[in-house]
Order: sequence, then structure tokens, then C-alpha cells
Amino acid sequence: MSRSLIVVAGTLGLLLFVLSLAGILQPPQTVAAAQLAPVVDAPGTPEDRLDRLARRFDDGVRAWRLGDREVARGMWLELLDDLPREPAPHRVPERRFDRGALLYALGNAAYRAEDELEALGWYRAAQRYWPRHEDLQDNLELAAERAGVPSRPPRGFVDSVLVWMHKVTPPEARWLALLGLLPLAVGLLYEAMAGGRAARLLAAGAALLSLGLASPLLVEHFLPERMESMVIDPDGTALRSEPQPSAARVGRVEPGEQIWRLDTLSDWERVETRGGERGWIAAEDAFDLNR
Amino acid sequence: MTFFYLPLGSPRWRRVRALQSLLARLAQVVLVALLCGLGVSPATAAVPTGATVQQANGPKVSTVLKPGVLRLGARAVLAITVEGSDRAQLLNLPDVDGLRLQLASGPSRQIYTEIVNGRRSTKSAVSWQIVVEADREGKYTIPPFDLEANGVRLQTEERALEVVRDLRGQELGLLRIESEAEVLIEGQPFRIDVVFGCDAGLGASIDYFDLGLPWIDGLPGVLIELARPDPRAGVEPVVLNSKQQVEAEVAGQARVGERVMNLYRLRLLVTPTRAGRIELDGSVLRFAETRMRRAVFDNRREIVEQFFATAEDLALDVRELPEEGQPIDYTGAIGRLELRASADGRDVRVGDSIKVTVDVTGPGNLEYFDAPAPELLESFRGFRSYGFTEERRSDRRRIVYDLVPVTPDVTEIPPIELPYFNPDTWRYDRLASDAIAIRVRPLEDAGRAGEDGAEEFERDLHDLIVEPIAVGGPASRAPGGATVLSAALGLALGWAALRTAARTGGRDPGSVQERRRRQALRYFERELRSSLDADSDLRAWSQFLADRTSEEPNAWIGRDVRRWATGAAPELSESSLATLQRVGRGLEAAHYGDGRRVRREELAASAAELMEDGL
Repeated sequence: MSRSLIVVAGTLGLLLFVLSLAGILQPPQTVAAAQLAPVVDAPGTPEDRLDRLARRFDDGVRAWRLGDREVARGMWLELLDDLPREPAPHRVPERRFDRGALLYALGNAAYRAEDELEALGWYRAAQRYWPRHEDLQDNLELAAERAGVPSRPPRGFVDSVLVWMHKVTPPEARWLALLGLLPLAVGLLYEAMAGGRAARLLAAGAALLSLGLASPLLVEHFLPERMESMVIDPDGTALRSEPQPSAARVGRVEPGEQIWRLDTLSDWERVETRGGERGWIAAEDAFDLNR
Repeated sequence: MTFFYLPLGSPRWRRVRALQSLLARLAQVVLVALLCGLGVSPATAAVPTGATVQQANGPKVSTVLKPGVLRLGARAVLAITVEGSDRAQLLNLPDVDGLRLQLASGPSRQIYTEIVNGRRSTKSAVSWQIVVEADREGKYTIPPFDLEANGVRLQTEERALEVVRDLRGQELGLLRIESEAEVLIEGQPFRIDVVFGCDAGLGASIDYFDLGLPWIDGLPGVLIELARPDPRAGVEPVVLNSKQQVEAEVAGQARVGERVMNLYRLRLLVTPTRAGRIELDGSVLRFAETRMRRAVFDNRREIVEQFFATAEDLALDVRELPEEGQPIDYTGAIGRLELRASADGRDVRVGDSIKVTVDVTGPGNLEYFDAPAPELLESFRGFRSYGFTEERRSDRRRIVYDLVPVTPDVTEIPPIELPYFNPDTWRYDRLASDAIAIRVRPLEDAGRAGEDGAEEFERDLHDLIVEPIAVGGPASRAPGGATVLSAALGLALGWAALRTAARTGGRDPGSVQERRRRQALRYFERELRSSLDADSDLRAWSQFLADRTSEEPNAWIGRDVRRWATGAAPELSESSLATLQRVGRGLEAAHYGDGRRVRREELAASAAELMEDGL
């Protein structure tokens, strides 16, 4: 009886492992259909619709090159409005519209319009898609320097770890997690066959390594991304107890400071600072970083 | 009484100095030669045994004898001060024939704050006052006093005292100490004029003046220096404290009381370095008629008749610099100051250097305050400062700033400000230069070449990234979350199954027995390699069998293999049993009898065969 159970469990495990690896080899989805939802009524195939989005972006680039920077900025903002906000897709498609490029372009447009704080906001928003892009990082630092705010806001240890985790994109996080299973497999195999303290230690080490490699994925799944804003008023803004201009000032948020958005009214946002203070700020002073 | 007087700088004075110098060198050479002959190092001989040494950073002794020339029947005061110590002790009062020395006060201790070169420091001092009275006229030498401070032995300097019986000097001569202020602030330089002279009726017969100003050397808390006389007024050489020749300014004739006097003026610049009282007393003027005495080898001037005049004592009050109202950027300037600025170029390009010269003038501590730092001012934001050079003189402080405009938007050099303490108003004021209008032209070919010829570039944004479609890449082939989860689950299940299978029948692969069982063949081969006789072969074989069957090694010596095979032993093939029996007997025969030793290769092959068959 017990021998049969072992055989069944082993077979099932092996099957699962092989099937999951086989899934990687499937061809990726060609076009991000979800990205095209607002224009789904438009004629043509998804490929055609994606090309139309790219052409709209290129029209903005053309206007930019001709010196019509305001026109270009308007076109890109309109394009951004037409792209739906969506969670990270299960599988990144083979061809997809790159929101990072659009947000980066809007950052450059704001910087040239001498609105360095807003440019900083666009660049920080783009970092969610391009967490390690060098040009983006340079532009972000330049905008922060010109705006007179720190490019890297002071953070606690936990915040710093989470920021480091978010430097890994979701697909990369899944690759890392899968890679981490290989040393774990070796460690567990050795422990199962040889037993003993050394084998258990080896398996535990492999499990820790695996957990470390899987941590970006775990953070992504178990710590849902909080909605974030940044203050773009050059003088900073007051944190008020209620969403009214006459409400008591309970704190202050400095320009360039990133805050978590808890609630939104038409003209007000309820926010929480990194220091844990909660209150309302005027929506016009805040820049949405989740774009 | 004769006195040798040679005019300073005269040819005869130079000849005498040259001769003295030659004799001194000869004496040094002879002394060194003698010491070397005695085996004494000149370096050690330089410090006599038992002599005290004044340490550079240790306690410092000063001695002031006032007056240096004493009218018979009057009293002189010898003041001894040890600075830098609060535990000093006067060890003795020396005996001097003809003088009576008596301790009048002390030791008195005090702690004070001192400002030297703009630096403020707190020090302590111990002082004594000794009254000196003379029994008769004459020249006396007061020998050094022994002191001890902070465990170090110190000595005062020797002091000379002349006691005279003069009745007419005060009538015929004049000595007056004049200060431009009587209430001062610490660190504020001020001028003291020593006005002296004698009755014009004495005519040219008076040709020798000796100013005895005992406070000029070693007055604690005061820096004194001689000002240069105005050369247009004419100068008169005078002797200062009987040891140094200086030049006094001729002040012309003036009526003093009933007499017309020929007057002279010696100007002193005095800087008090700490708050307290400055007492300028004991000043004496000796004026004399001299004549030249000629001899074969030596011409010297000797005094025919001399007179003494004393000055009224003068006391000055030095107060502390007030803390109230002191500006944050105050750098220590005190006085009645004026400030003026000029620039060496007013039509420049971005990056060109402009030398801005700031002159501070007026009576004040021009040498001692720190230069203001305009680069710290918000108004100088359009400039980069490359430091400054300065010239410190008692009558003018010149600071030359090297400023470079970094933007063409700059239209003027903003006022340079200097906060200072004004002793007239007794409060802090602020001097400011006038703004200097300038024109700064933008660079032609901006960004082409820097000062050192190297190309300079501007920092700017990276350009747009014009490809909005991302294609492929590792991200597009990344596994899904379900894939990762399935792989992890499969791995866990597989591990559990494998682990359970490996432990079927209560076996523990991690136990000692199981490990020995797994490694029995390796151990056996290693033992065989080091075995030298049949006894070692037999022990290695029985250990191998014991490891594989979890029995004692001795159980395999003389064992009936066939009977063992019918018991709880693993199922072995007939050939394996035969091998087991044959090898066992062979080894025992070699060990206990006279049988041939079983070959190592045969043993290893037999062990491997048994293991393959399930032993």
C-alpha cells in the first residue's frame, strides 16, 4: 500500500515538474490584446491596432523634432489616456506597446517646459517599467538636481529592500524563482538519498537560496503595489486633517516627496507619508506615479 | 661715572660691532676646542648643569621693574608674572648689597581670556610684587629669581636699577605719556605718544636722551610695537631702556609752564589682548650733556652731567568685546574702519577672472581680523570664488578676491560686507563697499573650450527613445506564475516520495551503519592498499562483510557461510556464496596455517561481485 502511494506521489510530482517546464517552451502571445482594449472596436487585427498606437507615438516624436514641443506633449498625453491601466499581464507578449517609452518622452517634454518637478514625476513613473534603464536614471537625476530635490528620497531599511526588489520586473522575477528551484532540487535529492546532518544543511541552504531568488516574486504577489503620488508644488504642500482648504494643517509634504495614496476625491487626495503621517493634500499638488 | 655712547649706524659703531663679532667668534672656537678636549659635547655644554629651561609651550615668566631709574629715597616695584600656570612658587628673594627687597604682594592668581591674532584663549597666571628700596646711589643688578611652575624650574631675567640723587631734572625736562583713549576694547589697537624733551636754554649741550619705559617689555596682555616716525618732521636718535637705540620724531619747541622746551615724540602702537587694566607707570627720562673723550685706541663719549625727569603714571581700562549684538559673520575687526572695493575688469566674459581689491583702512586691528567670505552670501551666487590673497599692514588691510562670473546674467559685483566693532559708538556696525557694475558677455562657442584648453560639455537630458514597440526579449518567454508554482509543488512531491522510498523498511540513510554500508567497498579497497600481511587482509575482509551485513567483524571469522545463508541473510546466488566461502577459507588458511596469501585483486573483485549480487 505504502509503496503504491510513494509511486503515485513520485510520478505525480515528476509529471508536474516536467509539465511546468514544458510550459515555458510554449510560444508567447503575439500581441498584447489586453493593451488594445480601448480600441478593440477599431477595425483590423491586433497587430494593426498596435501599429496605429505606435504611429500616434511617432507623430508626437515628429512634432517634437520640428520644435512643436507642446503639440508633441499633447499628443503623448492623449495617447497615454487611451492606453488602459492594467495589472502586469500573466505573460508578456512578443510585441507590445512600451509604456516606459511614452512616460520617458513625457518626462523630457515636462523638463523642456521647465517643469522639472513634473518631469521627475514622469521619470519615476517610467521607472516602474524600466527599473534599471541608464538614460532614464540620468534624466531623473538631472531633473531632481534642477528641481533642488534629492533624486533618491531617504528611506528606511524595509523601504530600501522593497525598492531593490522592484528593480526586478515581474517576468524577471518569475525567471529568478524558477532558477532558484534548480539548487533546491539538487539539495533535496541529496537529502532524500543520503540523509544525515550535512545533507539536511545543504538542503536548507539550497532552500534559503531558492527563497532569496524567489523573493521578488513573493513580494510582487504578497505585497500588492500601493498607489503612489509625488508632490510637484515647488513650495511643498500642506497636509490637512480634512479635505477642505480651511482644515487644520497637521503636517507638511516637501516637493519631490513620494507619498502613498489612500483615497481620492475630486480635488483632494488622502495620503500617507513615509513617516506615517496621514492627511489630505490638494490633488493639483500631487502627481500620480502609477501610470 | 662714565657712559659709553656711540651713535647707531655711525662708522665707528660699525667698526666696534665688527670687532665684537670677530672676538665673539674667536671665543666660541676656543671654547668648543676646550670642551672637546675635555670630552664634553658642545650641545650638552650649552645648558649649564642645574640651569632652568623655559619651555616653548610651557609657563612663561615676565619681569617688569618700574622705574628703571630710581630717585634716592623712592621705591621701585619689581613685578614677576608667570603665565600659563596656576601653580607657581617663588623660591627665593636674592640679596643685593645696597638694596632692600621685600615681598609686597603675591602670589595672586588670575584667569583671563586673551585674544591673539583674532584667536581667543583662556589662560591663567600667578604674579608677585616686590618692593625695592636703595640705601645709596649707584648702579645695581637684581639677579634672577628662582621659580617653580608645573614642576618646571624657571628663572626671571636679570634687571638693572640705577639709583640717582637728582634735584633739577624734573624742572628742566619733560616726560609725558599720552594715550588717544583711556577706555578701550580688547583687541583694539591704539596709539600712545611718549613726549619728551628738555629746556631749550640748555641748547645743544644736551645731546643724549635715555627713555626708561619699563612697561614696554613684558607687560602681560599687551602687544607693543614702535611706529615709524614721520621722516619729514626730522628724527632724533634716543636710547630706549638703556639698551636699544631708536628714532624719535622731532616735535619742535613748545612752552611748558614757564619754560620753552625742545620736544620729541616716540610713537607706540599698542594692542591689548585681554580685558583688564593697563598701568603705564615708572617711566623716567634721562637727558645728559656728553663730550667726546679721545684716546689712542678708543674714542668714547662720556656723560658730563645728567638729569632725570619722571612721567605721571597712566592707567588704561580695557574692556571685553561685548557678546550682545555680535553679528554671526563677525570676523574680529575692531576700530574706526573704512572699506573700499575696486575691480580690475568690468567688461568680461563668462568664466573670466575678476580681481576684486578690497582695502580696509583706518585705526583698528587691520592685521588681525579674518577676511570676509563673500562666496557665502546669496548675492554672490552668480560667481565662483577661487579664494583670495591679502596683504596685512598696520595702516591698511588689502584683500584681493578672485571671482569668476559663471553666468551672463550677472550685472554687478554685489557689495562686500565687513561687520566690525566701532569703539566710538561702542556697538557693532557693518561696512559695505559700493556695488560695482560689470558686463558679462556669454562665451562665444560656448562649451567648446575650457580654461585649460580641454573641451567642456554641458549636462543635458538623454534624448527620446523613439521605438515604442518592444519586441521579444527574455521577458516575453518568462514562465508564468502557475508554472513556477507547479514546478515547486512537483519538486516537493518528488522529494517526499523519493525520501520515503529511500527509508523503506526502517532504514535510515543518514545513520552510521548505512553510511558504512554504502562506503564499505571504498574502505575495503583502501585497507587492502595498505595491507602488508595475511592478518591485515583477513581483518579488512571481515570488516567489509560486517559493514555490509551490520554484524560484528569477528562473526565472519570461521563462519559457515552455507548455514548463514539459510538464516536471515540476504538472498545471494550460488556463485556468490561459493566466492564468499572460497575467499574466507583462503584468507583463514593464509593467516592461521601456511596457506598462500590471497591476491589483492582477487579480494577486490570478490567484494565487488558480492555487492552486485545484493550483499
